[in-house]
Amino acid sequence: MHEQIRQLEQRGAAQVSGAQNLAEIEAARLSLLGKKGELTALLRGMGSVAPEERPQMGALVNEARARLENALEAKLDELKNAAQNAALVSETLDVTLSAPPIAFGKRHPLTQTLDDIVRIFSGLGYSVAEGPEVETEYYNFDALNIGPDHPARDDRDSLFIDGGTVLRTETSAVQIRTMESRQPPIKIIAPGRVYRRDAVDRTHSPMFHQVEGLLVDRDVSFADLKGTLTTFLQQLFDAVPQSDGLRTRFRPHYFPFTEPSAEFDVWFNGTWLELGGCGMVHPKVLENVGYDSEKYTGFAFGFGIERMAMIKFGIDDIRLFYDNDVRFLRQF
Amino acid sequence: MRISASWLEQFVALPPLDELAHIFEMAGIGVEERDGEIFTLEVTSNRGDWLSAIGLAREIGAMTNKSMRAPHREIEGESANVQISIENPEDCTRYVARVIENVTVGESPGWLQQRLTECGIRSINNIVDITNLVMLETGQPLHAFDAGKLRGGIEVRRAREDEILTTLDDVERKLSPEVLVIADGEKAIALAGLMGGTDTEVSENTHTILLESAHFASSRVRRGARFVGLSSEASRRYERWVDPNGARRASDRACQLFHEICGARIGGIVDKYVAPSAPAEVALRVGRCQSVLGLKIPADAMQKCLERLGFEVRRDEETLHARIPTFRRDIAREVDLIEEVARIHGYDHIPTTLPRTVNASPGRNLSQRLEEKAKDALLRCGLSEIVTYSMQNSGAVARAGLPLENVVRLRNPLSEDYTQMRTSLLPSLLEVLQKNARNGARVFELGKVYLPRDEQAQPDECRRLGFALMDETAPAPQWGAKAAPLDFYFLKGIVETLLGELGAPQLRWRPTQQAPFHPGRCAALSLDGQDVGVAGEVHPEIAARWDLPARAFLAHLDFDAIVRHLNLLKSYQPLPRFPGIDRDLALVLPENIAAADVEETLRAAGGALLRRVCAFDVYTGAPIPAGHKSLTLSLSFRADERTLTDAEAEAALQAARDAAQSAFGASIRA
Repeated sequence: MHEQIRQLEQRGAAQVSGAQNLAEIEAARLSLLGKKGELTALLRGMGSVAPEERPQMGALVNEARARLENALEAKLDELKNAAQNAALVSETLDVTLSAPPIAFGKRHPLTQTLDDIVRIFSGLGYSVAEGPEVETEYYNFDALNIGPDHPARDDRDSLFIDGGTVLRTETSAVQIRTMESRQPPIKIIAPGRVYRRDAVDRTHSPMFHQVEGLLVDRDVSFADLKGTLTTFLQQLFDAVPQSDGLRTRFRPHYFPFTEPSAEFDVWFNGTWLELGGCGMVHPKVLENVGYDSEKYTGFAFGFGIERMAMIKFGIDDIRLFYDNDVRFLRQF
Repeated sequence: MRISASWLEQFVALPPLDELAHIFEMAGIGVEERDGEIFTLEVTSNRGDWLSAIGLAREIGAMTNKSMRAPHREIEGESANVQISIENPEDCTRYVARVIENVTVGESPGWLQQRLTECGIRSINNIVDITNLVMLETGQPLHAFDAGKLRGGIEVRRAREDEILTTLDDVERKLSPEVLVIADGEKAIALAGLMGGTDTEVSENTHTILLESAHFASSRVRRGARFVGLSSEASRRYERWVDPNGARRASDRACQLFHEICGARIGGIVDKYVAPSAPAEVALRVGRCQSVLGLKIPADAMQKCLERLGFEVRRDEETLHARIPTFRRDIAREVDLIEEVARIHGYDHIPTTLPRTVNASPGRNLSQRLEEKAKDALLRCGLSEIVTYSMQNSGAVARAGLPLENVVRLRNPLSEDYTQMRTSLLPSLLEVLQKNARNGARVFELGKVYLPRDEQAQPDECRRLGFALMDETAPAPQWGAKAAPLDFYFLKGIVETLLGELGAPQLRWRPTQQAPFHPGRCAALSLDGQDVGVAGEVHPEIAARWDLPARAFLAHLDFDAIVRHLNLLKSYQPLPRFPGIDRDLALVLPENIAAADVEETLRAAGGALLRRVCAFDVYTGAPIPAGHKSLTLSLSFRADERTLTDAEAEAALQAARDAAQSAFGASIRA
């Protein structure tokens, strides 16, 4: 009996370890431990064992049964793991294959640039002002100290609509309207579309976008204007690698609505690039809106959004902005 | 205004040319172009005096604190017998007429022709050339009439309605009273300040000329110019302002040259100056100037700035009174003098400050803005943001198959659920998927992990970006096309879109095996050779532990590392102007060769004409031998400057094909 158990266990263990798949495991379990299994049969045959040996034999059989059950369990896990691994291996992907494109909308590069500009001036405490694009000649010219003989009032330079209106040539009119409706301190930027009678080429467009800024308060100086624009440009071009910080330059210039006036430049790729115009608001402009030009001073500045975007993105043709070729729009 | 430096040098000492260009700019005279010593200058509409060599030299002298070289001498003359009548002094305040006799009309000497050419003006004959030269030198337009063709005296008047005049450009023009003309006793002979007429034009036969040096009102010349649709060198100057007190000097200078060059005899002169211009006096308060400029410039220095410009300055305590020469009509009020002080002192030397009510607050810094940008990009990919606790429990970490050691533990956790600070977002992401098992989820979190540091009380807080995607198990029925189920490549597409939007360089994907990912569907991501994250499908066993009913996809990126590799300056790539040629290539390769490696080999071998390579089909099974796959790639060839020929594309394709064969033992599938 003792020997019989030993042999059975040995044979069973071999059968288990030799099993190749779940079916063979199940077969081994049934043939050993099932109702009609050999080990079950041995237990059933315990009746023929001498009563004093029964406990010992019973223990032997149960121990063998436990060992075989463990072996079965282990083998089952092993086969399951192998099956799962085989399944995982068969699912292996080439992770380097390119992914299909995701539908991904883009903001227009001009909007991206304007968003940056608005963000920076918001940080400096400016609010955004708006106004009509079909503007009266008074707000577009006269209020800005642009007299009736100024070339800008010529049919060759600006786009007029009958009835004393013109497609605004700058957003300064918004500044006048703001000043008329409020007392200082004033701190606004006025972004928007402006129009000039320029033939379309690489650098000209009859419609483009400008941002103009205006600050009027007590004790505002030209030094403050320099500081404000320098701070703005440093923040706008903060992604541009500069070994010694962004270099800016202010050059004297002439505008009828500012005095002193300047153009401002930035040093970029080894050359000075002109960005826009600025200056201290002309006392006459302040007087036109009823401010006391002795009590208040202010500065104003303006620049093209296209110009900023062209510098920032290295775009060499202004027409690309309005062509709206999706291959262009996708790049930004 | 085009002018050579050597001409300016006759009037003032010049610095080296590069410095001169800078001085022009800082005076407010734009340098549009420089060709050797010839400058093309942009003169603003308020400064007519800069449309002359002497005016420019005077400005350079003021900027560099140098005085002008000696001016030309005056030429006396007896009174000429010419009648000058001026209809309206508002149109013309001064008319200087001079008779010059015995002129010999001919070609100008070489130096004179050259001066004019430098300034962009064509040489006509010595008489006209001299008038042009003096205009360029002094800013005063001159006109020479053939005196022999004049009928009676000179009349400055408005044109009659429909009066006819043929101008020097041979155009017959119908005039109106908008236009100011010069007339003789009979008819209009010139458009005042604009252009002469053919009838009184100087010709070879001219012996006596009448030289006009006049001051016409800016607005009148501008209106006349607009009416006839004409603009000339003279009108450009008059429209800005010509100094009436310079008319006589210019006439004298021309006479000197007529004598020297044409052997002429200088005859009589009539100087009709009906409304003399006197220097204006403008006051400047020292304190006002300082506060408008934000510059603590002492009164003495302020005075010197103005004196360098040729203004006579008288100081009365804290006010300067400046006498403004008549060539500077743009100076009318205090603020104009403030600008002059600023220009001469130098815009560069004015401090850079902020208004007292403004703080330079950049708001979000660049790195914070990049976070915004990343979130914005993921939202646009259709993912929603989640916010999970920074604290985790070790059970969740273990269930995610992540290592347990080396964490920051709380001394007094609120509960067993939150015992340690997270070192990965992945357990939280799995938790969110578990919570949304039925509905599915497409979510991301950009948050910190807390990594313990040796011998430091505070952990390293690093930003990680994790995302999790899983389809809903039973979508509600609806009309329309069904979305494709999520897969690994969709996740990959989001990662690449995100990094492209941020400005990352080419992202590399390579297979890797790590928890909690499927061993065959997990990739490590690297930028410039540095690992920045991992992405893949959740291991089925881990998915089962978290009761996830569908395939789930996770990515975990080191946001701080990504930020370090970004190229923040997006630069525009010109759009293709010429058509390209597309070819497909099917290769049979051992199964374990990565598509990216094949693409890279083809790209390197295909040369500059090969613009895009993309594997788009993988096939295994008969008739491809076991252990091999068929990989089909699309190759696009294009040249920037011309239309590509088939032969060129074929040659590049052949090179790419050969490279694939030798690198991978690939065979070509027909």
